[in-house]
Amino acid sequence: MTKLVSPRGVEYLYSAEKISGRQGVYLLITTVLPGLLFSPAIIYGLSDRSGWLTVLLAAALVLIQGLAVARLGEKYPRLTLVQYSQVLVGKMLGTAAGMVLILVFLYYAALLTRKQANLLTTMFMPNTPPIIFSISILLVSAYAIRNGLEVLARANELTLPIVLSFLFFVIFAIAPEMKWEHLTPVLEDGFMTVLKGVPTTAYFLAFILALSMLAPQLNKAGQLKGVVYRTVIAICFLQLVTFLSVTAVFGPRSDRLVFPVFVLARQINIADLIERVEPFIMLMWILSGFVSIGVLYYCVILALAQIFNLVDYRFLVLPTGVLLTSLSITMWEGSGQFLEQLILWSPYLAVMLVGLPLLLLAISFFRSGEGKTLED
Amino acid sequence: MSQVLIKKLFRLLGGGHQRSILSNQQASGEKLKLSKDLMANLSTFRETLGNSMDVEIRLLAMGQTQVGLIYLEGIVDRTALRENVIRALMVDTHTTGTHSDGKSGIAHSLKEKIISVCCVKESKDFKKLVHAVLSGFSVVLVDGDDTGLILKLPGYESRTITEPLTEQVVRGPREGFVESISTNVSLIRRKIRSPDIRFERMVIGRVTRTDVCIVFIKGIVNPDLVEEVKKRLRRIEIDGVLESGYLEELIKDSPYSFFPTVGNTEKPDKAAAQLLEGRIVIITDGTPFVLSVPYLFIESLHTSEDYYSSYYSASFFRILRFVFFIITTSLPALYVAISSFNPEVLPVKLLLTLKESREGVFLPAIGEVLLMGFVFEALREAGVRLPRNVGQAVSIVGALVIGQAAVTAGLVSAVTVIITALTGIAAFVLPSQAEALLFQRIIYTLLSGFLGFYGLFLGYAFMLVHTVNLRSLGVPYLSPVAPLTKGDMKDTLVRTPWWKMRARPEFLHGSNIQRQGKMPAPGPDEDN
Repeated sequence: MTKLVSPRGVEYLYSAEKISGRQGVYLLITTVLPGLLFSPAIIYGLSDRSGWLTVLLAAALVLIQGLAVARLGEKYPRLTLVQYSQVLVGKMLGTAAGMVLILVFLYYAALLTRKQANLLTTMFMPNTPPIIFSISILLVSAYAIRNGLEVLARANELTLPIVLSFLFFVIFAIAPEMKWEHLTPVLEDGFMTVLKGVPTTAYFLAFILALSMLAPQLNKAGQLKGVVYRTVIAICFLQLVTFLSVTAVFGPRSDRLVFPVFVLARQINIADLIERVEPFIMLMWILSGFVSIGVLYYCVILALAQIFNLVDYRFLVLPTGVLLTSLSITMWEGSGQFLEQLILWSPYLAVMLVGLPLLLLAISFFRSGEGKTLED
Repeated sequence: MSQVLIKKLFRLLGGGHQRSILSNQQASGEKLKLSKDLMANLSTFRETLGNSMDVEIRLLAMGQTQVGLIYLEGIVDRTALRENVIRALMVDTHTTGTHSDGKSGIAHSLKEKIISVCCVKESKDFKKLVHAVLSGFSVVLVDGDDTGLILKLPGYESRTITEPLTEQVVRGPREGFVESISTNVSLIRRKIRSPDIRFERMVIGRVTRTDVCIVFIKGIVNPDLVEEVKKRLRRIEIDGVLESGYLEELIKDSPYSFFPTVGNTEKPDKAAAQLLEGRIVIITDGTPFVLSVPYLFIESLHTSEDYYSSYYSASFFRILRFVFFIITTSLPALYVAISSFNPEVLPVKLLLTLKESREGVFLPAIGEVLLMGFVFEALREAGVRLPRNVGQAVSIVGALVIGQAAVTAGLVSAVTVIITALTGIAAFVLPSQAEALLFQRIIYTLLSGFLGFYGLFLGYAFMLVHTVNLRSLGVPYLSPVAPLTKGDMKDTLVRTPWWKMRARPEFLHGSNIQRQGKMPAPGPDEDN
């Protein structure tokens, strides 16, 4: 590993691993993917059958956020968000920005862990305590990121095609059940209903903010914009596909589903031969889940290490893992509260996720001259 | 974390000890020169080699000069020694004389005029001469000259070239490597006549002093890889290397992993193909198993025959092998997960059949599968070790007793027997991964015994992270799939025709990537 030196003279051992642009896109898609699997019901609950418009609006918002991240990344090519925010707004405020990122990511990582544990306990093994699932999935993620981001990127390069092919298999297999009447009339409740769901939908997509922590690890300069475009198009498409197929199959019942794509898979019956494909959905959840949690987990410990000027992040893996395990278990009592809290908090969290890079970009316009001198 | 600790511990315990042995040896093996006195030289030889029964030290009279001849009886070519050396020294010198021009001594003129042996070398270093004798060469010392002659006349019994038992083919060359390193080198040399091919010799093993040969094609291979291999081989300090397996374990990138990251083959054509792709081949004296690095997972799905037969059938069998790879690692685990945790995933009819077959079996599914798997492995192991005729008897008894009687007695269900048999047979489709498959199977089965489908999938995730983390000589183990190199996908699960594979594997980072010229796809010329 070669050493890179931060603006404050600290050598970062871990910044040396490089990933390709494609691996970056794949990683970001997978980071967002588990959210896309359970968000259709929530979007339907907020925006009803016009949710697909909500998705498009949210995607546009996320595209702006992503481009802001890319712009910042190009301005400070070897720094992460935690580092350049310190350059931009000073140590105190910069650290605060970093802490915001850490908390938001930590919360979502715990949420995904718990969601997966909930899926497994309710659908497969009702007698197993959820902590078993939390610990085991976090162990896989920890094992991967302990060996570096590139390991996670390579693993994801193999799993994402598998996961997506499962997803599309489910959607094609269920296509005969889809009733397009469920989607009409368009905009029956006016435009406000569409807007109502935008912040929450954006929240699920906005975790492409992880790019601001991964950007220095990309192997070629100047590909950030491309990465953002490709990722946003892909996740917008996936979110539309999952939302439309869930709505088309279940209609007004959609908002009551806790695991919409899972229930979708349950309906599959091809010639009485291919039915009960739930284990594959579980495989899909696990394979995308450990990468997604891994990316969030990685961003958290990388940000922590950079805030505290640590040379190596590896020893943070275990304590953060323990924290995540306990958070995933103790933060929520059950599914009902889980959903309530998510709907209540997600707009604020979305504002933080989308606002943070935009704010930093705005500040960087005012302080551009100064920023460049501190950069190298 | 624990790996690092263990490594540190090993270094603490082992390091100092090893160093002391080495320094002792170095002290005793100071550069010793020959003297001009023949008798003194011979007695030093006698002292060094001891009075072993096969040590022959002969004194010959060549006119007025005395000549000493030292060799080990069993491993020299006696006829050649008698005709071309002893007779020449004793008889021919009378007619031609031993004209020494004064400048270069008698030994040199003997080498030039008298001794009719292909390969003769001069040396003044006593240690080198002793090693020459031990390697099956003969040493000639002349009184009044401090130069010794090394005559390369080895002659020992070795196996003839036969078809290797481990990698049999329907189509393709049938010759296999043998135990002798010089024969093995010649087998590769006959396949690749390029002047760029290099056979670099290295001696490994402080006691056995085994010859090891690093083979690569200059201009195709990545020179950094060659340097890395040499560095790793030089680092080895071990008493003996009796088989290439020793080296394999000592040069692996991740020594704690059960996945093979060093390949081996018994077939010269396969070794040649490896070389042409830009890999490095390591030949070890005394074993027909030749190593190749970097070795990647995808290679275990390939056989040499894939390249000789039609690309349709090659691709078909590669996909088949991959399916069997999944079956052999996961089938028992799937069975356990289905029958103990989620029987509802099966279609009802199949489920009823399964339930019926499990009727009256006292063991849980995991117990059944582990028991049968254990019995199968024991039978297989016994089948390999036992004399051939007894082995057959054992397999018949095994098949009857295990297959029929155990089911009838209600010890295991018929489905378990089918699953064990299928798993066992599937494992033979990927012989090079044999042990990795076995351990994966055990791990998956145990995990699914605890957590059902979730356990199995968790196992997959762990194994995936582990394998993408592995490297063979710095090349990621799952290349070219992860990390993806598009150009190299032509030769993975599917083999594209030869006229499409214009480039050598990119992931090996060779210096010269072009394999073929711009040849059009075969077929009649367009103007015809």
